[in-house]
Amino acid sequence: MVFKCAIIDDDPFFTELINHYISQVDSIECCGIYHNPFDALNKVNFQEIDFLFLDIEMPEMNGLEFLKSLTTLPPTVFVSGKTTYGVDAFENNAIDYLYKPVSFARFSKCVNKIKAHFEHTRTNSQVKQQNIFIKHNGIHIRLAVDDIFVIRAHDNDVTLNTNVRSYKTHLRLKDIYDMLPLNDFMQVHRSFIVQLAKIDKVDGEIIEINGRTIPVSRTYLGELYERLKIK
Amino acid sequence: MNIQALKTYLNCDNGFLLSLVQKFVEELNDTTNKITLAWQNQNLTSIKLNAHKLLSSVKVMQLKELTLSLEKIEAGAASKHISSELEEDIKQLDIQVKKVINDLQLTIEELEANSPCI
Repeated sequence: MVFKCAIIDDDPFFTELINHYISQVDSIECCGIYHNPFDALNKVNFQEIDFLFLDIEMPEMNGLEFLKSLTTLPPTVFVSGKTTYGVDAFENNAIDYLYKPVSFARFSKCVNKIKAHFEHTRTNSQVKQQNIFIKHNGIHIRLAVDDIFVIRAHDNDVTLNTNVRSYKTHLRLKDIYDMLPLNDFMQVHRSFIVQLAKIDKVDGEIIEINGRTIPVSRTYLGELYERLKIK
Repeated sequence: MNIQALKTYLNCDNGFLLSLVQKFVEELNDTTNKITLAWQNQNLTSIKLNAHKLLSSVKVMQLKELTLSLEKIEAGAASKHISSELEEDIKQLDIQVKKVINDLQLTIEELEANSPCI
């Protein structure tokens, strides 16, 4: 799973450094860098991102004031050259608190916390789902989770393929992924989620499932082989 | 500056370190000028914010003397008291920064010589 973020910090040196660190890991993608929180307020698409890297001490509007101006608090990795904001940070949906300067080793630990945060959120939100409801042609339809074998994102829609038929719905791939049982499904490509138990064949970076071939990104290949116990 | 230690700390190659050092020199120049200007305008808030902003990159570059000077300036400005000591610290900062930039030019040359893509 790749988690999308935006970086908000008035220090270009630091944003370049964090962006470099992000480029070294597979699980985080940076969707935007903002050196001015007012600019971020206007431009960050909070529907698109999963979390923020947010500096606290900035001129004109600090990071905590920035969060207060939002209607929903996004999960946030706070960054600061001071340790004094720890309590404020953890009262504002903090995933982690990075004390500047930040080494790559410390950043790697932060990445693990980010992954753990979202896995934990997903696990907690799942009541051993056997069915999910999706809106198809304006009607909410119940789908048995076990019937879904592949989910594909395209343009602004997502198509769920079941044994019986396909359903198109206006959701993000991540929204669907969050509704599914963590152990049974896996994202294998930026546009595809599959049910692991339904995979018939794996041929390098291609999998076959119910007669359909699905590409697997290199980012996910190792995890896929591991989860399918392919040596 | 220990290039190898920095490369390990930042998990980067010579190319990235070169771009980062160049950006740092730019920021060092720019922010020091802002601090000097803020002093002329007796703007302690601006001195504090700019000293604080520069501190994190100075720490990444492991420049201990400059770190101490900036911490002193930040604390001095935070006390909201315009003192001759703060004025002297800002003058010293300017001198230190010029020296550091000279030293960093050598680092840049060394990194350029060892960055095949540049």
